[in-house]
Amino acid sequence: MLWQLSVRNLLRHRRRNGLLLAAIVMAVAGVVVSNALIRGFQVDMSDRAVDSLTGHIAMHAPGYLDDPNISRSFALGEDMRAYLERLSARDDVMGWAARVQVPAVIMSERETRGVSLVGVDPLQESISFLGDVTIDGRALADVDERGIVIGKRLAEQLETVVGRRLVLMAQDFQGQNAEAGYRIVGTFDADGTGLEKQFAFTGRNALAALLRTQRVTGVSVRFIDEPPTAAVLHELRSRFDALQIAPWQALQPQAAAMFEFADIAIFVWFLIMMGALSFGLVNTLATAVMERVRELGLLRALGMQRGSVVGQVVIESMLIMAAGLALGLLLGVGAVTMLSDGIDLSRWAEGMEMAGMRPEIVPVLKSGDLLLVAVLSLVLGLLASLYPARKAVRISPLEALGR
Amino acid sequence: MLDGARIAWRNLWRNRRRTLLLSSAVAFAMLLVVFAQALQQGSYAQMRDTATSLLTGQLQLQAEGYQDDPKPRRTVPDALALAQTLRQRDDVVDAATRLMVYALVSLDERSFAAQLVGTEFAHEQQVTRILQMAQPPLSGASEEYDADDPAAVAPLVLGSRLAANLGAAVGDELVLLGTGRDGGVAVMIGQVRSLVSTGTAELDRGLILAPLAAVRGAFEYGDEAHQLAVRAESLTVAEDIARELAPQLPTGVVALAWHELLPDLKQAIDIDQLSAQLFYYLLLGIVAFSVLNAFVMIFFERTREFGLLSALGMRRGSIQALLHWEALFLWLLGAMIGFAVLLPLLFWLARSGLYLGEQMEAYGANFYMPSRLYPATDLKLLAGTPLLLLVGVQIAVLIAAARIWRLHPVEALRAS
Repeated sequence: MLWQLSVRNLLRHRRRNGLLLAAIVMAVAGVVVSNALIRGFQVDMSDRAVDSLTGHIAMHAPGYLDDPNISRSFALGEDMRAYLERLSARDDVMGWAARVQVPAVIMSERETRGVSLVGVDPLQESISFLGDVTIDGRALADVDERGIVIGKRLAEQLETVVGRRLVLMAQDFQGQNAEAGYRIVGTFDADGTGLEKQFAFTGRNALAALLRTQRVTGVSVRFIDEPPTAAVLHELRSRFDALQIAPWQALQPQAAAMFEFADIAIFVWFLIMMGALSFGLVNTLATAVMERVRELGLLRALGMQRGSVVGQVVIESMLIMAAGLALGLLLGVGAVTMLSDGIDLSRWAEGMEMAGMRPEIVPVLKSGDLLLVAVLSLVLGLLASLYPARKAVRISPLEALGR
Repeated sequence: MLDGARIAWRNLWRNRRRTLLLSSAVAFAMLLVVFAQALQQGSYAQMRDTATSLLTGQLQLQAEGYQDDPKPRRTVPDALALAQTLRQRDDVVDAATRLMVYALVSLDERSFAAQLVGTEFAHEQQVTRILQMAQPPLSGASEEYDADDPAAVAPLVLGSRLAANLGAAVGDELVLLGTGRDGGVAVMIGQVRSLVSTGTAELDRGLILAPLAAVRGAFEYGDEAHQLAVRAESLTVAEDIARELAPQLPTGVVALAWHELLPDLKQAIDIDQLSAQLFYYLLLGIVAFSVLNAFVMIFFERTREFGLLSALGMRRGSIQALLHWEALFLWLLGAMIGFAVLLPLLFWLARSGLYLGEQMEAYGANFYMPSRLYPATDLKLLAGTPLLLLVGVQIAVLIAAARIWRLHPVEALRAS
């Protein structure tokens, strides 16, 4: 019967409850959309970090990260290779890649620049951005490739094009300066990001010849979705204890910081929006109670328990909250679906890049977030009804009837 | 009219609970948004200052087209004279003449590419902070570089990562190799005098500063410069100077203000501001809705009262004005509560700053974000939101009170 009373009360004041409903819908939809945008930003951050050569887990020789020299390398032994192949066969693993990555000087006919020279096995590179970029010219053929692929922006800076030659100079395993000529077989487009200026790619074996060693500087492993990082890290570290094995968060602390910051932002923003909503909610509920002093007094006089009176007020609050929640979620999810192609921010491309982001945000809906919104909204509905409920309980039947 | 105001004020207190709830809602929104804006504006100002004082300067004179395509031959002629003219201005603190060249720097067997900046150390220290960050600190002795002495070795200030990569320490001699102005090979010997750690990876990995005279000699430049970096009394003054100088400069020379020198920073600030505004509007919208809801309720509660007033001869417009007064007082109350909390908070933070934590410190350095935020306390900037709320609240009343014009006194008096 409490439910019937509550529903009837709500419908009795359609205008004011309608406005309240509208406010709740607006707040919930707003929270859902802004949540999705912040999540999209967060996912973008981690994607960028993982896509860059780091992967989810990276393995290096001790000291390499501070001093990326070829002397800080390790041998890719048979047992390591076998282990990685087995790991790769798992359902949740995308793949692994071994690389030789050293700082080098790149010289064209006109200009000189510093780059990170990376020797790769192109077949393994589906796990990084290199597997996804569009290439003018052609991609690296295989691990023996002796041509070089550089970013579009680097090519512009060096004032060179596909087909021309470049000289690359790096320090070899003996500590001597090694130099060789490479033909540019392709230039890659990475949306104008820093990746286009930072890297030059060639076949790993070809680079090994230049640096006079078969050793590699890093291995990275990439998972398909949420990586079971802790478990795999533990396993890797116990098997290959001579190496420094770290998750992407340790290698790219800035991206990791922004990633965590997004979680906090979502929660804080939710609190703020719901806080703003609560004033209107409490006001409407309290007014509803005050209007019904006589009615509630009568019900009490007729024997309704105090608890039931409180219950009725609470149910009323939860009902309208639930209705607003349902509609708000629908509206919010609908809005996010419409934006699923991403919001184009290319007007601010350089600014976005400075903060480490792509110039396009794709909002991301996580069921966990929606659940959180739902649960917290209902909790809010509950809390907001406490004050009006207290007032309702204090109504003494005699006084109320006397009015 | 003042009678209306008095009546409105008393009306508010007829329902104390509602008045307090509504003004709290207004206070809540105002407090949050204004606080957030103050921190935002404060952080933007800090970012602009940090960025421009690091190496760019607040204003630069360059050859036209150099900013987009920094070719070595795109120089500003008669740099010395131009710099002097700038320095003579009252609103200019100092100007630094610079040559920027790409060079290969070598120590023993290691070589790295670097950006070599030739600048007048004494002037540079007045225009930017970079030399002041050098460790060990530069003293007057390091600037004593005699360009005419063939045995003289140029003192160098290296980015700390570059030094680490090279394995170079203070006192080591380095060889710098590059392309001269007219295409010939240029060689310069320098001695590491000091290291600088800016927190910006790009600079720490690739920057070398050397005396202008040394770079000029080794790379065969004349009285010309790639950049004339200027520090003015403030960033705003610098923007004014840029505008003022534009028509006066010789052909082929342009004056660039900070947003042209650091377009990525400008864009980052712009988009941050834009996205924040979306959030603010949403928040304010929710509060406005609550106020609208409340006034609709008020209207229906007091239908009888309005009917009575109308029957007694009060004009509809005056009745509506009553409600507008009530809304104004609500807003005023909200503003008072809001600012009572906000102002002490702002002024306390303006002195001690808001520490963002170690992670932000590391991350933020890369885009000039300070680790300690100081809110802006310019109340003119922050008046926008309160005014917006005032307008919003009054619009809510307009909508709610529209029915007053359809009010029929007799029916209204019969309403319960």
